[in-house]
Order: sequence, then C-alpha cells, then structure tokens
Amino acid sequence: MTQAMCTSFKKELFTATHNFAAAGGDTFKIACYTASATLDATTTAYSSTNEVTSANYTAGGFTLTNVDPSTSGTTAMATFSTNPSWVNVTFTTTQALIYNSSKSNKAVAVLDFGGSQAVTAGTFTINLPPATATTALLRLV
Amino acid sequence: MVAPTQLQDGMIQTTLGEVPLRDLDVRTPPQPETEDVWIIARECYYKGDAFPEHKGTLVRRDVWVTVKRGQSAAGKGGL
Repeated sequence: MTQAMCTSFKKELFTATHNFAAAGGDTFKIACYTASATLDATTTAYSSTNEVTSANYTAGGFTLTNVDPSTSGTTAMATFSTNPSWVNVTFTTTQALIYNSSKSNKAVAVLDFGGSQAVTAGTFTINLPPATATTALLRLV
Repeated sequence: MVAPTQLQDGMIQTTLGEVPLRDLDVRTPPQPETEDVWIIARECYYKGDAFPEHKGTLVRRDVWVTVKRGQSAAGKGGL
C-alpha cells in the first residue's frame, strides 16, 4: 500500500463532484483496512473488503467533520477538524481510505500507517496533519 | 502532534474487562518512524492478582498514528 491522493479524485475535481464546505458540503468518512487490502492511487471507491472489523468499529468508518477549504499563498487545501478515533476496539490496521459517502463512496485519498498497527481493547487515533501549505491533508499546489 | 491521553486512576478497560490501573504495567515502547507517519503505542501488561494466569500478558494496546503531511495533487514529493 502507499499513501496517495486517488487519481479518480483528481479527475472528479474537474467535474465539481466533491464539496468540502463545512456547511452544506458532502459527508466524508475514513475507513481502516487490514494488510490484505490493496489501496493506492488507483483506488476509486470505498469497499468493505478487507476493512477491519471489531466491536465498537462500525463498517464504513469514522465520519469526518468538514472545515471550509482555504488557501495559503498559491496552495488550496482541505482538511477535517476532528481526528478520527475509535474507542475500545481490537483490530490490526495498515492503512485507511478517505472517501465521499455523499457521492457513491468515491475515494479521495489513502493513508499509510507505516506497517501493521495493532490495537487491543484500546483506542486507535489518527492525528491529522496541520493545515498548512506544505502539510495539509489535501492540497492543490 | 496530539499527545496521547493519560490513563486516569481508576478502572481501565482491557481484554480482562475493567481492571484497576494499579494492576497494569504501562509501557510506551519505541516505534519506528516512517516518511509519512509517527507512531506512539501504549501497552498495558497485567500484573495484578485477580487473574494470575494473565500476569505478564498484554491486555490493552492503544495506538496514535500522526500523519506528518497529507497528499498533494502533485503527487509524492510535491508540495
């Protein structure tokens, strides 16, 4: 697996498919996957195949909270305000997919966790990067 | 990076159910850092007397994945 902005997402930006506005925008989610999943830039949509399973983890993942897109210099960016987290879960995950559940679960980006991350009866948290021109979760330069 | 929350005194959820914090040996072993993420893991090993057969067993593990930076439409290596 590899961290990537999905190619289909880039194309869909040209057709105004995705709306990241805080008010009235689409609903985005992030789902966690096992090492058996093959997520990369060619991923086009969410699938439950090889998604992690656990008590207190709902299939489809965590619903993200939109933040109005912004700019910094010549860079436009989008991110979310709440770090995804799951409490009292037991699973092993290697990657996650951000997708648009308002638009046929179209894929947005893949996050790679750098190897298997095992959670046991505990909390799994993904700390999203700062919203700057060089680190924001989604950037158009 | 958002620091992990501390376990509060009292009962802690584990694979054995809720156990007192004093019955847990809490460790934060070093985790490998990659180009994309930092990892913090907190591991709790049972050391209490209520479940002697589980002494030394990992009964809870929390993980924090900090994404260093997101994705640019320019692809890896782009701003």
